[in-house]
Amino acid sequence: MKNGWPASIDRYQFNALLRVYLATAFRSKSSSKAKRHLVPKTFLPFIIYGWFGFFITAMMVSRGASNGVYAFSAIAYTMVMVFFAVLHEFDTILITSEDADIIGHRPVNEATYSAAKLCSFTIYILFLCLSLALIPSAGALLIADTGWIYACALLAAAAVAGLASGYLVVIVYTELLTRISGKTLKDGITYLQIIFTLGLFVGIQLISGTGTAALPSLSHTVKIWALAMPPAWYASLTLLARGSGSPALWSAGAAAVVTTLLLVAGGASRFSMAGAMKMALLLRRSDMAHVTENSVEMSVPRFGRLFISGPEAQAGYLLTAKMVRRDRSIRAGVFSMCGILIATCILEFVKGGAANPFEATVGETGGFSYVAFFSIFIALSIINLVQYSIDWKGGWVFSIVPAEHPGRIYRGVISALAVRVFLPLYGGVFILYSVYTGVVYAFFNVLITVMMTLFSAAAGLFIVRNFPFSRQRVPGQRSRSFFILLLAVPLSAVFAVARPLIFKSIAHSAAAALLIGLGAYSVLRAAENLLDTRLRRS
Amino acid sequence: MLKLNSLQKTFGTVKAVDNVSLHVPAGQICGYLGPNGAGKTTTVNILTTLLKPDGGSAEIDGLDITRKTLEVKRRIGYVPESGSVYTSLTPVEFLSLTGSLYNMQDSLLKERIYEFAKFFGFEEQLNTRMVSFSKGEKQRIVITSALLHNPAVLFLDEPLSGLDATTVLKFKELLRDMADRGKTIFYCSHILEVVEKLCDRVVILNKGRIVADGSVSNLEAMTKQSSLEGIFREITGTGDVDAAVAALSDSIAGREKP
Repeated sequence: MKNGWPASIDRYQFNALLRVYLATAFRSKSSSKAKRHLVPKTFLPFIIYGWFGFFITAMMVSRGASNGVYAFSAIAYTMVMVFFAVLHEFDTILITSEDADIIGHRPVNEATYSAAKLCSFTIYILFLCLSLALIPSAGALLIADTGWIYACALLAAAAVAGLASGYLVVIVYTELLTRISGKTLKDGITYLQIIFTLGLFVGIQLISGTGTAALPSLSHTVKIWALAMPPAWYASLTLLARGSGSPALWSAGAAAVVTTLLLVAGGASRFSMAGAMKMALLLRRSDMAHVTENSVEMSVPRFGRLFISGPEAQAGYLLTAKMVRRDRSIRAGVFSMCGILIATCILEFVKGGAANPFEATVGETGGFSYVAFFSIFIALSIINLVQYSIDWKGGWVFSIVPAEHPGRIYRGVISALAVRVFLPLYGGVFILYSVYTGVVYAFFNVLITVMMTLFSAAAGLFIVRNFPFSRQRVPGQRSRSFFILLLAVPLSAVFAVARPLIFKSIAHSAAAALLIGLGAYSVLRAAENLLDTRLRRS
Repeated sequence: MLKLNSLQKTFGTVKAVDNVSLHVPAGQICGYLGPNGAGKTTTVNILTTLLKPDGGSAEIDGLDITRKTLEVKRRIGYVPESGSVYTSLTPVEFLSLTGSLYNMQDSLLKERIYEFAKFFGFEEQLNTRMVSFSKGEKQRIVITSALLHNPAVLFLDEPLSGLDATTVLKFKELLRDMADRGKTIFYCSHILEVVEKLCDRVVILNKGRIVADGSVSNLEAMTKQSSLEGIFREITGTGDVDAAVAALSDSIAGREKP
């Protein structure tokens, strides 16, 4: 030891590396403005995670959950969210090929590199945990039989649980990467995220709709069987902190501490420069395998050319069709959103909230429609996702080719999305509605929804400022998705107000579909003109 | 100086570096050429300690690269082909990091950063995040980060990539001056004209093996060619380029006929 530091760690290098890792993890890459200090993008995770945390807190408080159940829920939420956040950003924050290129040939020993990486990762996880567990911890004061000690213990337990969850990802990810290809692993993660998103959405819908029916058995005391679940081990720490101890709780608390120590120790050993180089090599090889994938589609199918005329629109179509097929992040986004829409339809039917308004006895009462909301949200989100695809890196081509109307590529983009995403999706929705509400209402409801989707997709260009040039995906950046969410809510609220008029009769529905369709076409033309201007200026 | 003795590296069944032996004395600029996949970058990765060789040995300034790794790293500077930087940092932050990793004194580091910024003309960008930098702008920072600590041996892998003409001229002069002051420079490139004019010696690699080694004039005499381009063609078996060009041009012109 030297001045309290292990002799093998170079303190000077450690400080320099830690500063840089924290800057790269927290600093926005979208801004070129220099700032003298690290400016964490603090408020966004706090708002986004805080919103979900608030939802869980409100639900638990209103249902009168016991302090054991409350701690269990808050900690389970923290663990799952940290797990997926770390999984999602693994190769942008934890193991980057940049490290091998920039640091690999410089005189930094393993101990110094590992220590800096370990500290920055731990700080990143603790920051995530704080944004996730702050509101539930504060909300704990509203639960009966709790106090400041319990609230503080909950925050600390959630942080420890989050650390365990984060380090578990490190171990699982690095272990899997040595056994299966990076491409297979990333595909697996994509589908895992889709299932998680769907599960989370359906779970929230079911719980909010049916009450905490699944929870009463836990609402008074924590049952012994519940202690088999890892979040319960960490929840037991909060109960121990407020003095209620039993052998089972002490065992669970000990399991939490031992598990966390083992996971941190196991995960820490993965942060080596040799490991970073190996992982960078594996990830690069898998990316290369992805590039050489044999799937060649050189032109728009003959049938499609009837609708997508002109080379610009056809180029936009081909590029977007390939992105939907190959791009992992777009597939994850598209599949999970489509899954949510289908799940929403089923849940509405189960709850009896989607009756046929054309039947004289029912009528249309208006109100918020999740289907309408998702039709707007999905369209805007997909257009937003498109700009982050690696395929748009070739977007500069559109500004140099002698195209008369380069903006028409956007028509191709919308057409490809219509064929590859919207058609199958709304085909499914139509079948579902046909079964539950009859073919006529199903047809008009889906027709209007499709028109709204096309309208939103066309309008999407006005919020995607860099199109068709790609943007770099920034770790932890969720601001634009959140903005889209905020935008979709009022738009669907407008539709909710107009619903009774739209579904007053078949004629009203047909007129509304026509009107929205014409609006979509006008917005598309305006978007094309805007894109023409953008491309000519670039 | 740099010494390679029967260096070997194999990936699967491919011999990327096959018994490469070489001695580059101090003060020499050695051009290291070869077609794509010849093993140039693998050699450099071994010499910069990023890869371990499967066989043979290499020394930098008399230090074995596999046993005295940290000491070797302190003596080298490396401009990788990737030209990677942490784009969320500013040049000052990035160069301060790299200087700190060589344990440079703060005052000396600051002084050097400003000297290089002035030389390469990025003083005004010193406090701008590199996310908006062009390839050439980033490359100036990467080159600076390789030279800041005054290394004895310099490895350059396509260092001129993206640089503007003025910076290229300045950088070539700087390299010449560094070599005159006793630095060893190992220069990998595909740009034959630059290698021909800059390098004291040229080593050509093909399929992991050295197929030619000497000064440009020696190689010209040996192969009866009048330029490095001719030598390269002759030695690496690039084939009849003129015939290939004519065939392609005829094909393009033919298709354009009404």
